[in-house]
Amino acid sequence: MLNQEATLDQMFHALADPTRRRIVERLSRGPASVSEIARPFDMSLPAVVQHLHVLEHCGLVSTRKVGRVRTCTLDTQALTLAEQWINERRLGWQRRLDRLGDILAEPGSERP
Amino acid sequence: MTERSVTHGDFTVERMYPVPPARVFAAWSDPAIKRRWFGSPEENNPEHIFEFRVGGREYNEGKVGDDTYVFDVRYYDIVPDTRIVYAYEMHLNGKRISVSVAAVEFKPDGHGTHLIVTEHGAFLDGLDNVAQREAGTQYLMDKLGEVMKQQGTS
Repeated sequence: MLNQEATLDQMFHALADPTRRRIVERLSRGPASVSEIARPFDMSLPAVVQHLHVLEHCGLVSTRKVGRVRTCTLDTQALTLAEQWINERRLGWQRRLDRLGDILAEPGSERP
Repeated sequence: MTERSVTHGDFTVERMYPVPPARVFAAWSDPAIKRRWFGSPEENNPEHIFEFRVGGREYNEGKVGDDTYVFDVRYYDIVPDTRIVYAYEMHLNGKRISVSVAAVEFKPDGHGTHLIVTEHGAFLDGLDNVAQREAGTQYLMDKLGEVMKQQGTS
């Protein structure tokens, strides 16, 4: 469920970790398997997988298993488009409700 | 081939107005008032439908630049001066892009009204709109850049 504030919180939490930022940088150059991602880090595979879970949870990364290989992809598009759409809906309402306020404040606008 | 996906989201927008709920409600139920702040139903547009009653339909279509938007609404619950609940689908250039449920509440607050608009939506298929997607990715990269600057990495 996307809630503007919660989504940004999750994203910032995910990106607050330097390892996860390096993973995102790697994936911005193209999809990679979990073992390819783990290679440059002096870290166990389960530790890398844990980081990937955090990135998946906030919608930054999506993974797909084909046979024995799990491939990870940077998934910015769906998340930010949906964020934008909700943002547009909300902003649209902000504008309209401001206009409504102006109309309600007009002198002599009360109806019998 | 269309990539299929559903993303769910919600938001709430609130206002305080220094007039009684009946007046705020009238701005929703009376098409002459509604079009002044909502933008529709347009006066001489035969395509626009506005049936403000339970089971009634509201329909409007408009262009933003080269894009055509359609809002197709059904009213499910209306309690005068108190509450309006409706559902609507939104189309962009002929494709359905979202289906949503909205609730508008008019709460008395002293001599005024506390208005609350809450929407829950299912956003469909991410749209095949390259410009939007690019803007979205750019937005994310900007945010990433900000975080990295704060953390002292480059």
